[in-house]
Amino acid sequence: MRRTMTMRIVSHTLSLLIVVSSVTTPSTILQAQARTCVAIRAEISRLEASLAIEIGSLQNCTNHLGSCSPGVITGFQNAIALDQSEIAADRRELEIACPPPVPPRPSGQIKVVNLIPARLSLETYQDSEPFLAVQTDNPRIMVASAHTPNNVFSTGNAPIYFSNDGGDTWNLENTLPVEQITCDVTVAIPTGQNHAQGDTHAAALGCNYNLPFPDSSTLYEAETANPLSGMTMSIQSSRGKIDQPFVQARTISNEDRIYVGVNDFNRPKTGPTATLDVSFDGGVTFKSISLDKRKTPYNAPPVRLATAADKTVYVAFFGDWQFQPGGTSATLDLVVVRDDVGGNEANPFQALKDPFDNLAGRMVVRKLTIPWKPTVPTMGQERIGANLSLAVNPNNSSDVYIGWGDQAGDGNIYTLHVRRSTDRGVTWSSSDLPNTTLRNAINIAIAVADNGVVGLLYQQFTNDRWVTHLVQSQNAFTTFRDTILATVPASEPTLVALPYLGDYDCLSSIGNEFRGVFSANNTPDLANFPSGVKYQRSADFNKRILTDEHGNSVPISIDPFYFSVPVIP
Amino acid sequence: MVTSYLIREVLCTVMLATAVTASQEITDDAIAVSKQSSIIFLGTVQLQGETSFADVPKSTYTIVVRVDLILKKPTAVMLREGENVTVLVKDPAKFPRGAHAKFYTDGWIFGSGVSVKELGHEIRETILAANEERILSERINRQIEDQDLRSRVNSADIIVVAQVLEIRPWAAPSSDTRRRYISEHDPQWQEAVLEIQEALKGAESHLKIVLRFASSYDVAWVNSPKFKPGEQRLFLLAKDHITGEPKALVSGSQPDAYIALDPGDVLSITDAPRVRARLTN
Repeated sequence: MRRTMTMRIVSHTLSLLIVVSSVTTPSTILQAQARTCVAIRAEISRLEASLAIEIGSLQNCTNHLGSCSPGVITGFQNAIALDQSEIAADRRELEIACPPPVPPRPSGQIKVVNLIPARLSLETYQDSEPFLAVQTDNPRIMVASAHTPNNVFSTGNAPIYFSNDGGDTWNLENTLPVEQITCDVTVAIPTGQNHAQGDTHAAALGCNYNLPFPDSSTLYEAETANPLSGMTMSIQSSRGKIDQPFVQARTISNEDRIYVGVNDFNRPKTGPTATLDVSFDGGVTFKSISLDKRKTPYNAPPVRLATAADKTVYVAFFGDWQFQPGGTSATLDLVVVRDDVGGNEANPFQALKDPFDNLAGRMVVRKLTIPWKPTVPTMGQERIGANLSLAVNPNNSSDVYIGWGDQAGDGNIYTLHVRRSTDRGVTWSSSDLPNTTLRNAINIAIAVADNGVVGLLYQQFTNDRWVTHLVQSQNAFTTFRDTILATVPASEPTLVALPYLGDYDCLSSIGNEFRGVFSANNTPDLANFPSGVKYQRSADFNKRILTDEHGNSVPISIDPFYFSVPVIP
Repeated sequence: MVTSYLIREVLCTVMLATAVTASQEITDDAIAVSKQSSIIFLGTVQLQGETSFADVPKSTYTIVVRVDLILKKPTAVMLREGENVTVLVKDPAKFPRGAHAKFYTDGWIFGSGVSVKELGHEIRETILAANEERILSERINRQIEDQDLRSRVNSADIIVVAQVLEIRPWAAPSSDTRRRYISEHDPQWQEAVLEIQEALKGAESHLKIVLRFASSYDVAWVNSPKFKPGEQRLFLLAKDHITGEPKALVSGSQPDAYIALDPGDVLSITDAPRVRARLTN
């Protein structure tokens, strides 16, 4: 404790040094800042080391009940809280005192492509909430999904997009075995697998309003060995009372492992609903794993996961949902669980225990507040709810990033945050990583490239525009390169349905590229797409109008956009 | 869904008349296959075993057809007369190069070109004038609309012209033991209290009834009808067998509750004469 207090004094002294030096001469500023930066970083390192020791000691106490007095436990808890607070203060100071150099521009071409095919140039629907799957072994093949209705087919299935030329052109086919439109859909192609055309898995939610809610929300886990075949996907399993399926897949030792995070309303009344559906045989059979081991009344809709080649699987969810008076906001805990054999064991996802209660599931942040207005357009015509993303370093499964959205209490509507663990989720950065507290932003998606560069996709409401950013960083956002993919009016077109842009979007890393999809206003205006854009649908960029086959104007709408951006070196 | 697949399979095997005229009797088969089709056109077979654009899987079942006359297509699709499309046919032997046919199809793959799946066809030995084809197509469309309306009229428990007096929130009663669900897809049920102005089927004028509807604009419910106080509409309603609570409270009594979830459950009052005609026939 005394050591920590001493460090705080040192920290404050250093802050004063900056203030003092800033009123002297430019050269002394630089000298003072250079010294200060080194000192602050060293202090953060020291604090992080002591924090790890304190957390380990506390964990020992809770693992061996009776070995520590209540006073000792309280002491450790206070020391942890103080260290975390010190680290946060030092990081903020570091951001101000030591503005880092911007990383180099990515070399190579940035690609932004409107997914609507040429022959659907007259479509005007709100194609929100896109998702993307890439065939790793043949990355020219990709499959994308969105809230695109089946209004060009008369029979059954919901549509899905595919590309077989690396995203330059896209086609739409109605091969998803869900009636007319999906209420939620995500897609995955097992990474590291060798199916020539990409063994595509879809987790799609069908909404049949002839059944009572939530029986009407039916999950279909579907598969096709060739998404280019034009053949309807096979339903591998289905069940009702499910929300927001999020699929990831990975091939390990010729075994296609399929993971679907869901909010499962089949769980007992007033109990946890965060669930992971797992298949170790390519989706032939699934087992459901309840993830939240605490007495939580509800979980929030998103359950997100990240898989690594060494079989490590992380899953993040929101626990202990407590409605606040009025019912338009809730407090909850951000929780991460881990399994080192991909869930293929008797008691899966027990690897991370929280030192405060020794239960499975590390609480990254407790008692955060989210606005819950799923039927109200709140910001730029979009509804606000629960945003969550999780990513693991492909070459180091100990290195994990988590991103989420909440109401930070500073007058903003919604704020995104990113934190990191470098010890397999045991400890997490105690405050947001530098430059990752993003106000009035939604649709966070994180991915880590082969070279360790982390990518962050989000959409920010700025000056009545939705601005889509892809941020890359070599050093956990201390320095970063921001690429604006789109900056479009947020007030038009008028919303048709919710979500307006989506409750999520998608980012992945493939080789030396970040690839992803987002939805945005489709006005063909090059000023809206600073990194360039390609339309397949008929458009006149001089007149800034969408057109039909006769050159007549077609109303603007929300379209899905694919992008690829080279990873910075 | 299974039913629709069966219908489709049956329709695929339908060989319709080899020649028609605009004035001839329209068969049930023609109506059924037209209803199933999203794209109907007259065309001339150009190539067998080929495709009209690269992203369509080529097989012995794909043929390239020049579109001569478009009779039906979805609004979103950009398709021009004179251009080639790919048709996935059931029996390629029935489509020799140069054959003229009316193609009843559903969309297959849309990209730089258009490809469709054959649901049925009519080989045309005699080519009708475009105007005659359009008249014939219109007659079929009217019959389809008529069948659909007749089906709705028959299946509705009540049909009324009514005014919306009040909109009120509604939740399942406390005796409902189901859990609360945290989901963006919650329907956000509301009740509309209606005053019946004219009873066409199964009800009495001047009564008040309660209609449940999903007020949510979530993607799951956006197409289901929404209401505002003061609106006057023609309602074709079924009793509420969906929400789990079959009764509603209105004017101190508990009559059957009704529900409107399909866009066709509510029509304009100008449709009343059409509906009356179906009731009397």
